[in-house]
Amino acid sequence: MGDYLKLQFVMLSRRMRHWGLNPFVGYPLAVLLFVGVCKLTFDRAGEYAPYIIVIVCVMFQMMLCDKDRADFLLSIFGDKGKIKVRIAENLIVALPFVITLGITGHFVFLGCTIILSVAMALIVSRQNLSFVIPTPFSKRPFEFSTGFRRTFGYFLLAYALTAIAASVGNQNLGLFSMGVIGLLTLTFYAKPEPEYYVWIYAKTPSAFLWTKLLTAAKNTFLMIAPSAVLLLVAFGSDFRLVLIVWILALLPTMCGVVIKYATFPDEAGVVEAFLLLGSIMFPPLALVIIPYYYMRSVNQLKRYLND
Amino acid sequence: MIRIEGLHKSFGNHEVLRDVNAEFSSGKIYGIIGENGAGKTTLFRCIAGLEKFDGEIVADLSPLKNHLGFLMTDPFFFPYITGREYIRLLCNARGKKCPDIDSANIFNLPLDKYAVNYSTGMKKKLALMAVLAQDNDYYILDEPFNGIDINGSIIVTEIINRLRDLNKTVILSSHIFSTMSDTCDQIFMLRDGHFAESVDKEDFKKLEDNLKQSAELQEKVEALLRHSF
Repeated sequence: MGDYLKLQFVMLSRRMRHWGLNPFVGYPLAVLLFVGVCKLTFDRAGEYAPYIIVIVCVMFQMMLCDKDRADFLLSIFGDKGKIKVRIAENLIVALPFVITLGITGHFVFLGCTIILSVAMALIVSRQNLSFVIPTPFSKRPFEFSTGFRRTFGYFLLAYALTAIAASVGNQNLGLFSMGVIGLLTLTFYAKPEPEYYVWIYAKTPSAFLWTKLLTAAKNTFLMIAPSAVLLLVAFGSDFRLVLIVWILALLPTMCGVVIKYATFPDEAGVVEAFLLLGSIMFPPLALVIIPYYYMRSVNQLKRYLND
Repeated sequence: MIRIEGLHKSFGNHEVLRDVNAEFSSGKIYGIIGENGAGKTTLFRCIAGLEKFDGEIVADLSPLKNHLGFLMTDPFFFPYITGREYIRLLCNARGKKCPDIDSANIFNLPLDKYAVNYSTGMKKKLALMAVLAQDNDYYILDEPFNGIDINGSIIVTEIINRLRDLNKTVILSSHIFSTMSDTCDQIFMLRDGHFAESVDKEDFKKLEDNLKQSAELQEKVEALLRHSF
Protein backbone atom coordinates (compact mmCIF):
# COMPACT_ATOMS: atom_id res chain seq x y z
CA MET A 1 0.00 0.00 0.00
CA GLY A 2 2.90 2.32 0.81
CA ASP A 3 4.30 1.92 -2.69
CA TYR A 4 0.90 2.64 -4.18
CA LEU A 5 0.51 5.87 -2.19
CA LYS A 6 4.10 6.90 -3.07
CA LEU A 7 3.23 6.30 -6.72
CA GLN A 8 0.19 8.58 -6.38
CA PHE A 9 2.47 11.28 -4.98
CA VAL A 10 4.92 10.83 -7.90
CA MET A 11 2.03 11.03 -10.38
CA LEU A 12 0.71 14.21 -8.77
CA SER A 13 4.18 15.76 -8.97
CA ARG A 14 4.43 14.79 -12.66
CA ARG A 15 1.07 16.40 -13.27
CA MET A 16 2.33 19.62 -11.70
CA ARG A 17 5.40 19.55 -13.94
CA HIS A 18 3.08 19.00 -16.92
CA TRP A 19 1.29 22.21 -15.91
CA GLY A 20 4.69 23.94 -15.94
CA LEU A 21 4.93 24.13 -12.14
CA ASN A 22 7.90 22.85 -10.15
CA PRO A 23 6.52 20.66 -7.30
CA PHE A 24 8.80 22.50 -4.82
CA VAL A 25 6.81 25.61 -5.68
CA GLY A 26 3.51 23.83 -6.39
CA TYR A 27 2.98 22.16 -3.02
CA PRO A 28 3.65 25.27 -0.87
CA LEU A 29 1.48 27.24 -3.29
CA ALA A 30 -1.34 24.72 -2.89
CA VAL A 31 -1.06 25.03 0.92
CA LEU A 32 -1.17 28.85 0.71
CA LEU A 33 -4.14 28.69 -1.61
CA PHE A 34 -5.97 26.29 0.69
CA VAL A 35 -5.34 28.51 3.73
CA GLY A 36 -6.54 31.57 1.78
CA VAL A 37 -9.75 29.87 0.60
CA CYS A 38 -10.47 28.54 4.13
CA LYS A 39 -9.98 32.00 5.64
CA LEU A 40 -12.31 33.48 3.05
CA THR A 41 -14.90 30.79 3.79
CA PHE A 42 -14.81 31.49 7.54
CA ASP A 43 -14.93 35.27 6.92
CA ARG A 44 -17.89 35.08 4.52
CA ALA A 45 -19.97 32.14 5.78
CA GLY A 46 -19.42 32.63 9.53
CA GLU A 47 -21.08 29.91 11.60
CA TYR A 48 -21.87 27.88 8.43
CA ALA A 49 -18.20 27.66 7.41
CA PRO A 50 -17.54 24.30 9.12
CA TYR A 51 -20.51 22.77 7.27
CA ILE A 52 -19.03 24.02 4.00
CA ILE A 53 -15.57 22.67 4.93
CA VAL A 54 -17.02 19.21 5.58
CA ILE A 55 -19.08 19.28 2.36
CA VAL A 56 -16.10 20.36 0.23
CA CYS A 57 -13.97 17.63 1.82
CA VAL A 58 -16.61 15.02 0.95
CA MET A 59 -16.82 16.42 -2.59
CA PHE A 60 -13.08 15.86 -3.06
CA GLN A 61 -13.35 12.36 -1.65
CA MET A 62 -16.22 11.58 -4.01
CA MET A 63 -13.80 12.11 -6.92
CA LEU A 64 -11.94 8.99 -5.78
CA CYS A 65 -15.04 6.82 -5.78
CA ASP A 66 -15.56 5.92 -9.41
CA LYS A 67 -16.22 2.34 -10.42
CA ASP A 68 -13.17 1.82 -12.66
CA ARG A 69 -10.87 2.97 -9.88
CA ALA A 70 -12.56 0.70 -7.37
CA ASP A 71 -12.24 -2.26 -9.77
CA PHE A 72 -8.57 -1.47 -10.35
CA LEU A 73 -7.82 -1.34 -6.61
CA LEU A 74 -9.77 -4.56 -6.08
CA SER A 75 -7.76 -6.35 -8.78
CA ILE A 76 -4.46 -5.28 -7.21
CA PHE A 77 -5.08 -5.34 -3.45
CA GLY A 78 -8.05 -7.65 -3.04
CA ASP A 79 -11.16 -6.79 -1.05
CA LYS A 80 -9.58 -5.95 2.33
CA GLY A 81 -6.56 -4.24 0.78
CA LYS A 82 -8.82 -2.09 -1.37
CA ILE A 83 -10.72 -0.84 1.67
CA LYS A 84 -7.45 -0.06 3.49
CA VAL A 85 -6.19 1.93 0.51
CA ARG A 86 -9.49 3.79 0.16
CA ILE A 87 -9.52 4.68 3.87
CA ALA A 88 -5.89 5.87 3.66
CA GLU A 89 -6.66 7.96 0.57
CA ASN A 90 -9.73 9.53 2.12
CA LEU A 91 -7.85 10.36 5.33
CA ILE A 92 -5.01 11.95 3.33
CA VAL A 93 -7.55 14.07 1.44
CA ALA A 94 -9.30 14.93 4.72
CA LEU A 95 -6.06 15.91 6.50
CA PRO A 96 -5.96 19.62 5.54
CA PHE A 97 -9.69 19.96 6.27
CA VAL A 98 -9.30 18.21 9.63
CA ILE A 99 -6.37 20.50 10.57
CA THR A 100 -8.45 23.55 9.64
CA LEU A 101 -11.40 22.38 11.74
CA GLY A 102 -9.02 21.58 14.63
CA ILE A 103 -7.32 24.98 14.54
CA THR A 104 -10.68 26.77 14.47
CA GLY A 105 -11.94 24.66 17.37
CA HIS A 106 -14.74 22.83 15.55
CA PHE A 107 -14.01 19.44 17.08
CA VAL A 108 -17.45 17.93 16.47
CA PHE A 109 -17.10 18.69 12.74
CA LEU A 110 -13.56 17.33 12.88
CA GLY A 111 -14.85 14.05 14.26
CA CYS A 112 -17.63 13.95 11.67
CA THR A 113 -15.12 14.49 8.86
CA ILE A 114 -12.99 11.55 10.02
CA ILE A 115 -16.03 9.28 10.44
CA LEU A 116 -17.35 10.30 7.01
CA SER A 117 -13.93 9.68 5.42
CA VAL A 118 -13.85 6.13 6.75
CA ALA A 119 -17.53 5.52 6.02
CA MET A 120 -17.21 6.69 2.41
CA ALA A 121 -14.33 4.29 1.81
CA LEU A 122 -16.54 1.47 3.06
CA ILE A 123 -19.87 2.42 1.58
CA VAL A 124 -19.41 4.51 -1.55
CA SER A 125 -17.46 2.40 -3.96
CA ARG A 126 -19.31 2.67 -7.24
CA GLN A 127 -21.37 5.10 -9.20
CA ASN A 128 -24.62 3.86 -10.62
CA LEU A 129 -24.27 4.03 -14.37
CA SER A 130 -27.32 1.93 -15.07
CA PHE A 131 -29.96 4.40 -13.87
CA VAL A 132 -30.32 7.25 -16.35
CA ILE A 133 -30.91 10.54 -14.50
CA PRO A 134 -33.38 12.72 -16.42
CA THR A 135 -31.91 16.07 -17.40
CA PRO A 136 -33.46 19.23 -18.84
CA PHE A 137 -30.41 19.53 -21.13
CA SER A 138 -30.97 16.33 -23.12
CA LYS A 139 -31.96 18.20 -26.32
CA ARG A 140 -28.61 20.03 -26.57
CA PRO A 141 -25.89 17.64 -25.37
CA PHE A 142 -23.18 17.31 -24.14
CA GLU A 143 -21.58 19.45 -21.41
CA PHE A 144 -24.68 20.13 -19.35
CA SER A 145 -26.47 16.83 -19.95
CA THR A 146 -23.43 14.79 -18.85
CA GLY A 147 -22.22 17.28 -16.23
CA PHE A 148 -25.64 17.55 -14.62
CA ARG A 149 -25.84 13.77 -14.21
CA ARG A 150 -22.26 13.51 -12.93
CA THR A 151 -22.79 16.18 -10.26
CA PHE A 152 -26.49 15.68 -9.59
CA GLY A 153 -25.98 15.01 -5.87
CA TYR A 154 -23.93 18.18 -5.42
CA PHE A 155 -26.69 20.25 -6.98
CA LEU A 156 -29.15 18.80 -4.50
CA LEU A 157 -26.75 19.74 -1.68
CA ALA A 158 -26.41 23.28 -3.02
CA TYR A 159 -30.18 23.70 -3.27
CA ALA A 160 -30.53 22.30 0.25
CA LEU A 161 -28.01 24.91 1.42
CA THR A 162 -30.16 27.64 -0.19
CA ALA A 163 -33.24 26.28 1.57
CA ILE A 164 -31.38 26.29 4.92
CA ALA A 165 -30.19 29.86 4.23
CA ALA A 166 -33.75 30.97 3.50
CA SER A 167 -35.19 29.22 6.55
CA VAL A 168 -32.61 30.65 8.99
CA GLY A 169 -32.58 34.08 7.35
CA ASN A 170 -28.88 34.00 6.37
CA GLN A 171 -28.67 35.70 3.00
CA ASN A 172 -24.86 35.35 2.76
CA LEU A 173 -25.16 31.59 2.98
CA GLY A 174 -27.79 31.69 0.24
CA LEU A 175 -25.57 33.78 -2.00
CA PHE A 176 -22.72 31.37 -1.30
CA SER A 177 -24.90 28.45 -2.42
CA MET A 178 -25.56 30.29 -5.70
CA GLY A 179 -21.80 30.62 -6.14
CA VAL A 180 -21.38 26.90 -5.48
CA ILE A 181 -23.78 26.15 -8.34
CA GLY A 182 -21.73 28.40 -10.61
CA LEU A 183 -18.61 26.47 -9.58
CA LEU A 184 -20.31 23.16 -10.30
CA THR A 185 -21.14 24.22 -13.86
CA LEU A 186 -17.54 25.41 -14.24
CA THR A 187 -16.40 21.82 -13.65
CA PHE A 188 -18.32 20.80 -16.80
CA TYR A 189 -15.61 22.57 -18.78
CA ALA A 190 -12.63 21.35 -16.75
CA LYS A 191 -11.39 18.71 -19.20
CA PRO A 192 -11.00 19.04 -22.95
CA GLU A 193 -13.11 16.64 -25.01
CA PRO A 194 -11.51 14.42 -27.70
CA GLU A 195 -10.74 16.33 -30.92
CA TYR A 196 -13.54 14.52 -32.76
CA TYR A 197 -16.16 16.37 -30.69
CA VAL A 198 -14.89 19.72 -31.95
CA TRP A 199 -14.17 18.52 -35.48
CA ILE A 200 -17.80 17.42 -36.02
CA TYR A 201 -19.04 21.03 -35.89
CA ALA A 202 -19.82 22.68 -39.22
CA LYS A 203 -19.15 26.13 -37.74
CA THR A 204 -16.43 28.74 -37.86
CA PRO A 205 -14.28 28.96 -34.69
CA SER A 206 -16.03 32.15 -33.58
CA ALA A 207 -19.53 30.75 -34.24
CA PHE A 208 -18.54 27.59 -32.36
CA LEU A 209 -17.29 29.60 -29.38
CA TRP A 210 -20.37 31.81 -29.30
CA THR A 211 -22.58 28.73 -29.25
CA LYS A 212 -20.56 27.26 -26.40
CA LEU A 213 -20.51 30.55 -24.45
CA LEU A 214 -24.24 31.15 -24.84
CA THR A 215 -25.03 27.56 -23.84
CA ALA A 216 -22.79 27.87 -20.77
CA ALA A 217 -24.31 31.21 -19.72
CA LYS A 218 -27.94 30.22 -20.39
CA ASN A 219 -27.74 26.85 -18.68
CA THR A 220 -25.76 28.13 -15.68
CA PHE A 221 -28.40 30.85 -15.32
CA LEU A 222 -31.10 28.17 -15.33
CA MET A 223 -29.26 25.96 -12.83
CA ILE A 224 -28.92 28.91 -10.41
CA ALA A 225 -32.55 29.98 -10.97
CA PRO A 226 -34.19 27.79 -8.27
CA SER A 227 -31.80 29.13 -5.60
CA ALA A 228 -32.04 32.70 -6.85
CA VAL A 229 -35.84 32.67 -6.96
CA LEU A 230 -36.03 31.21 -3.46
CA LEU A 231 -33.69 33.93 -2.16
CA LEU A 232 -35.65 36.64 -4.00
CA VAL A 233 -38.78 35.43 -2.24
CA ALA A 234 -37.05 35.10 1.13
CA PHE A 235 -35.03 38.32 0.98
CA GLY A 236 -37.20 40.42 -1.33
CA SER A 237 -35.89 43.76 -0.07
CA ASP A 238 -32.32 42.85 -1.06
CA PHE A 239 -33.21 41.65 -4.56
CA ARG A 240 -30.44 43.67 -6.23
CA LEU A 241 -27.74 41.70 -4.44
CA VAL A 242 -29.29 38.37 -5.48
CA LEU A 243 -29.53 39.53 -9.10
CA ILE A 244 -25.91 40.74 -9.11
CA VAL A 245 -24.62 37.42 -7.72
CA TRP A 246 -26.83 35.56 -10.22
CA ILE A 247 -25.10 37.36 -13.10
CA LEU A 248 -21.59 37.25 -11.59
CA ALA A 249 -21.88 33.49 -11.00
CA LEU A 250 -22.09 32.96 -14.78
CA LEU A 251 -18.69 34.51 -15.43
CA PRO A 252 -16.31 31.80 -14.11
CA THR A 253 -18.06 29.18 -16.28
CA MET A 254 -17.76 31.44 -19.32
CA CYS A 255 -14.06 31.89 -18.50
CA GLY A 256 -13.82 28.09 -18.28
CA VAL A 257 -15.18 27.79 -21.84
CA VAL A 258 -12.72 30.17 -23.49
CA ILE A 259 -9.76 28.90 -21.46
CA LYS A 260 -10.55 25.28 -22.37
CA TYR A 261 -10.48 25.99 -26.10
CA ALA A 262 -7.49 28.36 -25.90
CA THR A 263 -5.34 25.42 -24.80
CA PHE A 264 -7.26 22.73 -26.73
CA PRO A 265 -6.59 19.78 -27.06
CA ASP A 266 -4.28 20.06 -24.03
CA GLU A 267 -5.52 20.71 -20.52
CA ALA A 268 -5.27 24.26 -19.19
CA GLY A 269 -1.94 25.16 -17.58
CA VAL A 270 -1.17 26.61 -14.17
CA VAL A 271 -1.48 30.23 -15.38
CA GLU A 272 -4.99 29.55 -16.63
CA ALA A 273 -5.85 27.75 -13.37
CA PHE A 274 -4.83 30.83 -11.41
CA LEU A 275 -6.77 33.12 -13.73
CA LEU A 276 -9.85 30.93 -13.26
CA LEU A 277 -9.37 31.14 -9.51
CA GLY A 278 -9.03 34.89 -9.89
CA SER A 279 -12.32 35.04 -11.77
CA ILE A 280 -13.99 33.11 -8.94
CA MET A 281 -12.56 35.38 -6.21
CA PHE A 282 -13.01 38.56 -8.23
CA PRO A 283 -15.59 37.99 -11.02
CA PRO A 284 -15.00 41.32 -12.85
CA LEU A 285 -11.59 39.89 -13.84
CA ALA A 286 -13.61 37.75 -16.25
CA LEU A 287 -14.24 40.83 -18.36
CA VAL A 288 -10.52 40.77 -19.24
CA ILE A 289 -10.11 36.99 -19.35
CA ILE A 290 -13.06 36.27 -21.65
CA PRO A 291 -12.08 38.55 -24.57
CA TYR A 292 -8.36 37.69 -24.33
CA TYR A 293 -8.87 33.93 -24.24
CA TYR A 294 -11.67 34.16 -26.78
CA MET A 295 -9.16 35.47 -29.32
CA ARG A 296 -6.67 32.75 -28.41
CA SER A 297 -9.40 30.11 -28.67
CA VAL A 298 -10.38 31.28 -32.16
CA ASN A 299 -6.76 30.82 -33.28
CA GLN A 300 -6.45 27.45 -31.61
CA LEU A 301 -9.69 26.13 -33.11
CA LYS A 302 -8.69 27.04 -36.67
CA ARG A 303 -6.90 23.69 -36.74
CA TYR A 304 -10.22 21.86 -36.39
CA LEU A 305 -12.84 24.23 -37.77
CA ASN A 306 -12.89 26.08 -41.07
CA ASP A 307 -12.87 29.85 -40.91
CA MET B 1 -15.59 13.34 -55.47
CA ILE B 2 -12.49 13.49 -53.28
CA ARG B 3 -9.05 13.83 -54.90
CA ILE B 4 -5.77 13.25 -53.08
CA GLU B 5 -2.61 14.59 -54.69
CA GLY B 6 0.94 14.01 -53.48
CA LEU B 7 -0.03 13.43 -49.85
CA HIS B 8 2.88 13.12 -47.42
CA LYS B 9 2.58 12.67 -43.68
CA SER B 10 5.36 12.17 -41.13
CA PHE B 11 5.45 11.86 -37.35
CA GLY B 12 8.90 13.20 -36.49
CA ASN B 13 11.37 11.30 -38.67
CA HIS B 14 8.92 8.50 -39.35
CA GLU B 15 7.27 8.92 -42.73
CA VAL B 16 3.88 7.22 -42.53
CA LEU B 17 2.44 8.28 -45.88
CA ARG B 18 4.46 9.25 -48.95
CA ASP B 19 3.14 10.50 -52.24
CA VAL B 20 -0.37 9.10 -51.90
CA ASN B 21 -2.53 9.84 -54.95
CA ALA B 22 -6.12 8.75 -55.51
CA GLU B 23 -9.51 9.88 -56.69
CA PHE B 24 -12.73 8.76 -55.05
CA SER B 25 -15.87 9.34 -57.14
CA SER B 26 -19.46 9.82 -56.07
CA GLY B 27 -21.67 6.74 -56.03
CA LYS B 28 -18.76 4.38 -55.44
CA ILE B 29 -17.42 2.42 -52.50
CA TYR B 30 -13.67 2.28 -52.00
CA GLY B 31 -11.77 -0.06 -49.73
CA ILE B 32 -8.37 0.59 -48.22
CA ILE B 33 -6.45 -2.45 -47.09
CA GLY B 34 -3.05 -2.77 -45.48
CA GLU B 35 -1.30 -4.38 -42.56
CA ASN B 36 -1.66 -3.01 -39.02
CA GLY B 37 0.28 0.22 -38.87
CA ALA B 38 0.27 0.68 -42.66
CA GLY B 39 -1.21 4.17 -42.22
CA LYS B 40 -4.90 3.63 -43.01
CA THR B 41 -6.18 5.53 -39.98
CA THR B 42 -3.60 8.28 -40.52
CA LEU B 43 -4.79 8.63 -44.12
CA PHE B 44 -8.40 8.86 -42.93
CA ARG B 45 -7.47 11.50 -40.35
CA CYS B 46 -5.67 13.48 -43.07
CA ILE B 47 -8.76 13.36 -45.32
CA ALA B 48 -10.90 14.48 -42.37
CA GLY B 49 -8.51 17.35 -41.68
CA LEU B 50 -7.62 16.05 -38.23
CA GLU B 51 -3.93 15.80 -39.18
CA LYS B 52 -1.67 18.35 -40.83
CA PHE B 53 -0.04 17.03 -44.00
CA ASP B 54 1.85 18.03 -47.12
CA GLY B 55 0.05 17.71 -50.43
CA GLU B 56 -3.50 18.42 -51.43
CA ILE B 57 -6.93 16.97 -50.74
CA VAL B 58 -9.81 18.53 -52.66
CA ALA B 59 -13.50 17.72 -52.86
CA ASP B 60 -16.38 19.01 -54.94
CA LEU B 61 -18.08 20.16 -51.73
CA SER B 62 -16.06 22.53 -49.61
CA PRO B 63 -15.05 22.48 -46.82
CA LEU B 64 -14.84 18.72 -47.09
CA LYS B 65 -15.01 18.15 -43.31
CA ASN B 66 -18.46 19.74 -43.08
CA HIS B 67 -19.86 17.12 -45.47
CA LEU B 68 -17.93 14.15 -44.14
CA GLY B 69 -19.18 11.47 -41.78
CA PHE B 70 -16.25 9.86 -40.02
CA LEU B 71 -16.79 6.57 -38.23
CA MET B 72 -13.70 6.01 -36.11
CA THR B 73 -12.24 2.59 -35.27
CA ASP B 74 -12.91 3.02 -31.56
CA PRO B 75 -15.54 5.72 -31.16
CA PHE B 76 -15.29 7.58 -27.85
CA PHE B 77 -18.42 8.12 -25.75
CA PHE B 78 -18.73 10.45 -22.80
CA PRO B 79 -19.85 8.87 -19.55
CA TYR B 80 -23.48 9.79 -18.82
CA ILE B 81 -24.47 10.39 -22.44
CA THR B 82 -27.31 8.26 -23.78
CA GLY B 83 -27.40 6.81 -27.29
CA ARG B 84 -30.20 9.21 -28.24
CA GLU B 85 -28.24 12.22 -26.97
CA TYR B 86 -25.14 11.11 -28.88
CA ILE B 87 -27.10 11.09 -32.15
CA ARG B 88 -28.59 14.50 -31.30
CA LEU B 89 -25.12 15.88 -30.54
CA LEU B 90 -23.79 14.86 -33.94
CA CYS B 91 -26.85 16.26 -35.75
CA ASN B 92 -26.77 19.53 -33.79
CA ALA B 93 -23.07 19.92 -34.57
CA ARG B 94 -23.84 19.91 -38.28
CA GLY B 95 -26.87 22.14 -37.86
CA LYS B 96 -29.02 19.30 -39.20
CA LYS B 97 -32.49 18.49 -38.00
CA CYS B 98 -32.38 15.16 -36.25
CA PRO B 99 -34.41 12.42 -38.00
CA ASP B 100 -36.99 10.41 -36.08
CA ILE B 101 -34.40 8.53 -34.06
CA ASP B 102 -36.69 5.69 -33.02
CA SER B 103 -37.71 4.80 -36.56
CA ALA B 104 -34.05 5.07 -37.66
CA ASN B 105 -33.01 2.63 -34.92
CA ILE B 106 -32.39 -0.20 -37.37
CA PHE B 107 -30.12 -2.02 -34.89
CA ASN B 108 -32.67 -1.91 -32.04
CA LEU B 109 -30.21 -0.20 -29.71
CA PRO B 110 -31.31 0.79 -26.18
CA LEU B 111 -31.06 4.47 -27.03
CA ASP B 112 -32.14 5.75 -23.62
CA LYS B 113 -29.33 3.91 -21.83
CA TYR B 114 -25.81 5.29 -21.35
CA ALA B 115 -23.67 4.59 -24.41
CA VAL B 116 -20.59 3.71 -22.33
CA ASN B 117 -22.45 0.64 -21.11
CA TYR B 118 -22.96 -0.64 -24.67
CA SER B 119 -20.90 -3.57 -25.98
CA THR B 120 -18.15 -2.89 -28.56
CA GLY B 121 -20.46 -3.83 -31.43
CA MET B 122 -23.35 -1.73 -30.10
CA LYS B 123 -21.05 1.28 -29.78
CA LYS B 124 -20.00 0.84 -33.39
CA LYS B 125 -23.63 0.59 -34.48
CA LEU B 126 -24.54 3.73 -32.54
CA ALA B 127 -21.62 5.68 -34.00
CA LEU B 128 -22.62 4.53 -37.50
CA MET B 129 -26.26 5.52 -36.91
CA ALA B 130 -25.12 8.96 -35.80
CA VAL B 131 -22.95 9.68 -38.85
CA LEU B 132 -25.77 8.43 -41.08
CA ALA B 133 -28.23 10.73 -39.27
CA GLN B 134 -26.00 13.66 -40.25
CA ASP B 135 -26.85 12.95 -43.91
CA ASN B 136 -23.33 13.48 -45.19
CA ASP B 137 -22.13 13.35 -48.79
CA TYR B 138 -18.86 11.59 -47.99
CA TYR B 139 -18.26 8.79 -45.53
CA ILE B 140 -15.09 7.37 -44.05
CA LEU B 141 -15.84 4.13 -42.24
CA ASP B 142 -12.79 2.87 -40.36
CA GLU B 143 -13.36 -0.79 -39.54
CA PRO B 144 -17.17 -0.59 -39.66
CA PHE B 145 -17.56 -4.35 -39.12
CA ASN B 146 -15.36 -4.54 -36.02
CA GLY B 147 -17.15 -6.29 -33.17
CA ILE B 148 -20.48 -6.36 -34.99
CA ASP B 149 -22.57 -9.55 -34.92
CA ILE B 150 -23.65 -11.46 -38.05
CA ASN B 151 -27.06 -9.78 -38.35
CA GLY B 152 -25.46 -6.41 -37.77
CA SER B 153 -22.83 -7.10 -40.46
CA ILE B 154 -25.55 -7.92 -42.97
CA ILE B 155 -27.31 -4.65 -42.14
CA VAL B 156 -24.05 -2.64 -42.37
CA THR B 157 -23.35 -4.22 -45.79
CA GLU B 158 -26.86 -3.22 -46.91
CA ILE B 159 -26.36 0.33 -45.62
CA ILE B 160 -23.07 0.70 -47.47
CA ASN B 161 -24.62 -0.56 -50.71
CA ARG B 162 -27.55 1.84 -50.21
CA LEU B 163 -25.11 4.74 -49.79
CA ARG B 164 -23.79 3.89 -53.27
CA ASP B 165 -27.35 4.13 -54.65
CA LEU B 166 -27.69 7.53 -52.98
CA ASN B 167 -24.59 8.69 -54.92
CA LYS B 168 -22.46 9.09 -51.78
CA THR B 169 -18.71 8.62 -51.72
CA VAL B 170 -17.67 5.94 -49.25
CA ILE B 171 -14.14 4.99 -48.20
CA LEU B 172 -13.80 2.11 -45.79
CA SER B 173 -11.25 -0.15 -44.25
CA SER B 174 -11.64 -3.64 -42.93
CA HIS B 175 -9.43 -6.56 -41.99
CA ILE B 176 -12.09 -9.01 -43.18
CA PHE B 177 -11.62 -9.39 -46.93
CA SER B 178 -15.12 -10.77 -47.59
CA THR B 179 -16.74 -7.60 -46.20
CA MET B 180 -14.63 -5.55 -48.60
CA SER B 181 -15.34 -7.74 -51.62
CA ASP B 182 -19.08 -7.66 -50.82
CA THR B 183 -19.25 -3.88 -50.78
CA CYS B 184 -16.37 -2.20 -52.61
CA ASP B 185 -16.06 -1.15 -56.24
CA GLN B 186 -12.33 -0.67 -55.95
CA ILE B 187 -9.72 -1.64 -53.36
CA PHE B 188 -6.49 0.24 -52.71
CA MET B 189 -3.59 -1.61 -51.12
CA LEU B 190 -1.64 0.66 -48.76
CA ARG B 191 1.92 -0.58 -48.44
CA ASP B 192 5.16 1.24 -47.54
CA GLY B 193 3.26 4.48 -47.10
CA HIS B 194 1.60 4.63 -50.51
CA PHE B 195 -1.02 2.93 -52.65
CA ALA B 196 1.03 0.04 -54.02
CA GLU B 197 -1.92 -1.44 -55.88
CA SER B 198 -5.44 -0.54 -56.96
CA VAL B 199 -7.79 -3.36 -57.87
CA ASP B 200 -11.23 -3.24 -59.52
CA LYS B 201 -14.11 -5.51 -58.51
CA GLU B 202 -13.52 -8.14 -61.22
CA ASP B 203 -10.00 -8.77 -59.88
CA PHE B 204 -10.86 -9.05 -56.17
CA LYS B 205 -10.52 -12.86 -56.23
CA LYS B 206 -7.04 -12.54 -57.72
CA LEU B 207 -6.16 -9.96 -55.05
CA GLU B 208 -7.33 -12.27 -52.28
CA ASP B 209 -5.24 -15.13 -53.70
CA ASN B 210 -2.22 -12.86 -53.94
CA LEU B 211 -2.70 -11.73 -50.35
CA LYS B 212 -2.82 -15.32 -49.16
CA GLN B 213 0.28 -16.18 -51.19
CA SER B 214 2.28 -13.17 -50.07
CA ALA B 215 1.44 -13.96 -46.46
CA GLU B 216 2.80 -17.49 -47.05
CA LEU B 217 -0.29 -18.52 -45.20
CA GLN B 218 -0.30 -22.23 -45.91
CA GLU B 219 3.31 -22.74 -44.78
CA LYS B 220 2.79 -20.68 -41.62
CA VAL B 221 -0.39 -22.52 -40.65
CA GLU B 222 1.23 -25.88 -41.22
CA ALA B 223 4.27 -24.86 -39.18
CA LEU B 224 2.04 -23.67 -36.35
CA LEU B 225 0.03 -26.87 -36.31
CA ARG B 226 3.21 -28.99 -36.37
CA HIS B 227 4.47 -27.18 -33.25
CA SER B 228 1.14 -27.18 -31.47
CA PHE B 229 0.15 -30.80 -31.84
